[in-house]
Amino acid sequence: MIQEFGNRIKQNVAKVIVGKDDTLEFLLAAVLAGGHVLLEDVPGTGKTMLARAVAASLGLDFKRVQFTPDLLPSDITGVSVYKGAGFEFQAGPVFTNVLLADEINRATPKTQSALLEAMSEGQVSADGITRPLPNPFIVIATQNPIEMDGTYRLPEAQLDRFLVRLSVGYPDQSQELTMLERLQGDHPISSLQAVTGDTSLLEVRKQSRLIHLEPELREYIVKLVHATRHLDATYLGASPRASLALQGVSQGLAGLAGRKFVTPDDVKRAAVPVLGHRLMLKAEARLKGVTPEKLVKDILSSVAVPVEK
Amino acid sequence: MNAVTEHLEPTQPLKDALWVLVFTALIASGWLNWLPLGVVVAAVLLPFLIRRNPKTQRFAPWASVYAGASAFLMMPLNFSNLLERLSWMALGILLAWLIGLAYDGITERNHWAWLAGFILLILNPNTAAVIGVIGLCVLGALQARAARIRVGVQFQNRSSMIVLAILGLTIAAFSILLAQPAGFKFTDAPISVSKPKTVTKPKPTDTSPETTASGRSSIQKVPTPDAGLRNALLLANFALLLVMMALLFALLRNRTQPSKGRRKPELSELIPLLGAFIVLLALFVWASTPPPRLEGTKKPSEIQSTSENPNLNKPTKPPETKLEQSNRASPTLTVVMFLIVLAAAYWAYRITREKLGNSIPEEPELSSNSSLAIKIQATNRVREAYRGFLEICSANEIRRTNDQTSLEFAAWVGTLAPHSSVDVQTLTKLYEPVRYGQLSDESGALEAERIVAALKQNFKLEPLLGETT
Repeated sequence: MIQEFGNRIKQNVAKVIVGKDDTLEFLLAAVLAGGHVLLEDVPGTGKTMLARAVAASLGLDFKRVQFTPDLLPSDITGVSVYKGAGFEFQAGPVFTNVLLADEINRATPKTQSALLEAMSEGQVSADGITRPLPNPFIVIATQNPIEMDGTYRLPEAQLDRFLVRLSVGYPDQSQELTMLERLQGDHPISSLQAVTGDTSLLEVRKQSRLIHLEPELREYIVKLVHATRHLDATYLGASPRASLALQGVSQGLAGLAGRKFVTPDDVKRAAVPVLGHRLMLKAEARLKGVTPEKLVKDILSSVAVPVEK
Repeated sequence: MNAVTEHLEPTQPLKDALWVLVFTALIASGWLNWLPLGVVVAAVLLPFLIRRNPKTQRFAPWASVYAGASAFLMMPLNFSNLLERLSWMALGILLAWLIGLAYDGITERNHWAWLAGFILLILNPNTAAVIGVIGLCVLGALQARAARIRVGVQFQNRSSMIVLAILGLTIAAFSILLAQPAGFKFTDAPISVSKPKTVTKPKPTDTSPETTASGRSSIQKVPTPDAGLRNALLLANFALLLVMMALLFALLRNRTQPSKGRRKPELSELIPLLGAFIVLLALFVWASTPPPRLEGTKKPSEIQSTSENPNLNKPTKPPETKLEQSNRASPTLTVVMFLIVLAAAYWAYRITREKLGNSIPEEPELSSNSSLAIKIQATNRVREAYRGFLEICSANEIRRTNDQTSLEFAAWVGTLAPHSSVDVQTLTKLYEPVRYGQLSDESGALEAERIVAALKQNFKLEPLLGETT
């Protein structure tokens, strides 16, 4: 069921995005795990297009917010407007199933923080009233890691709320050639239809959570996450939320591969996207060229995998 | 024996059955009267009852142990009427049922079991019995939950088992403490709980040592050193039970997740067994010794008879002497039972060694309708086959690094021995599901064994560049 669901979406997205199977698979795994996704890459690599294509394929209510420095929190959450008899709450774009937060790091931290409650608790508090968001609620945010002028680095609390951070990357020559051929006429994104059929995302999520995870693998996950907290190069390691994220994404990957059980390969695959953005490097480590991805890979090579001895 | 073994863990069914036999024999030797025999029969029959449910059939040995636990709890007690005895026996069965069903979740059958248990608890007039049984039920349920026997998922959390064991011991101790004021007497002689009126209290004015020391009711109210000793032994019995459970835990864990193809029982497994025998032996020897009597005292029956008979000078035959003797273990019988148990344990040990001596275990006897057992067996065979593959690699100086997954290892081995690459990949694909939570089928096990047999014949490393063949 999960594999079929994933394949349908992958085939549909492939009409728009060429050759980003790995990124798409992680994105779907994160969606299955009930998390939010941060797409980080240089401009023009198809981050926004990927997010739009996935949202369209899922057939869910979709809204897009272009984050700018003058964006206010109420522009996202909503605002109460006086209408004759009294104030009436005008729901913001956050009240949707899939929210594309484009260039999220261009908004001020205050505005970025407006998403904190929505992302972690699935609700919005405005004017003293807490309003639940639609279920499912997925934030797919994009940011450009190169151009830092006029941007505000995402705070740790916000980063931690993203289940995975993915990089789209440049296509290779043949992929780029295929892309040119496909997009010569009308852009297929406008004609992209939902392909989920009768299967609801919530149902698939439920199935994904039931995928078996051996207790030893759970221990393996915990060991990996704990190892991030004792690194010399970082001042902050991965949170317990990271353990949950790693478990969920591993289950999602296993489900998309058509398995009913998680293997250590799933955990290892998920480790970099899940843990990378949660490691806060010390300044000296950054200057030495240490990257979070390298640290995670070092941890993966130091923690024993539970296999037959 | 075959009927008992066929539903048990298929890798060493005979061993399991022997453990059941050993435990039941231990219980029987501790009792030596007709009531425990009923419990023993229940303990032996329980596997047949539980095997009906394939999910709970693997708990059959545990169920027997817990039925034995109820017998241990009853050991120092005497019941006045048949209803109480039957209640206890039924509660023992119920207890074992609960252990098996705790893992299975609440099903319709569970409802009936709970209902039956509730009725039995109401029928049993003794509050202490209720407390004790509930305590054991809770312990059993917790233990069964902690045990979570699945293929590849066994007893992962050792510390939780220890905590549960301590909890169980505490519950047992409290049950005993609570039981005493409620009517259970842990004195050294058989006491009729529901017949206190037959005991004659000494006259307040009578201060003679004979009357005071020999009045049974007086002794019951003031704990004697013997009573304390018996309580201590009762607690020791519970500790022993927990040790036995730990032993079973260790055996089950090592059996299902052996680190190597061959395995000998470790010292840590044998020491508790030895300790158990020593404690039991001490208990039996103590139970065989007549209770110490103060000089100049009379038997309670004599006092009772005397008090009922106005003629104090005419000695009458004590009516309860026979009953008292029947509750004492005969020394000869104790020794014989002990030897039988020891022989059974040794036999189990030998059989186990012979069984485990083969790198690939023999196909056990299984009933045709036990599909789950067949799958478990096939799963174990696939894992065994994979271990065989690792041994082949090891013999060729190829060892998996700690950070390698089985797939990564297979890919690496494939580069070192390209002609075996397909076989290695296939074997790994068969192994991965069973290692991480799925069951294999017979064809999978056969395929895995075929591949390993082929690898044993054909596995050859590709010579490295510059290396002569």
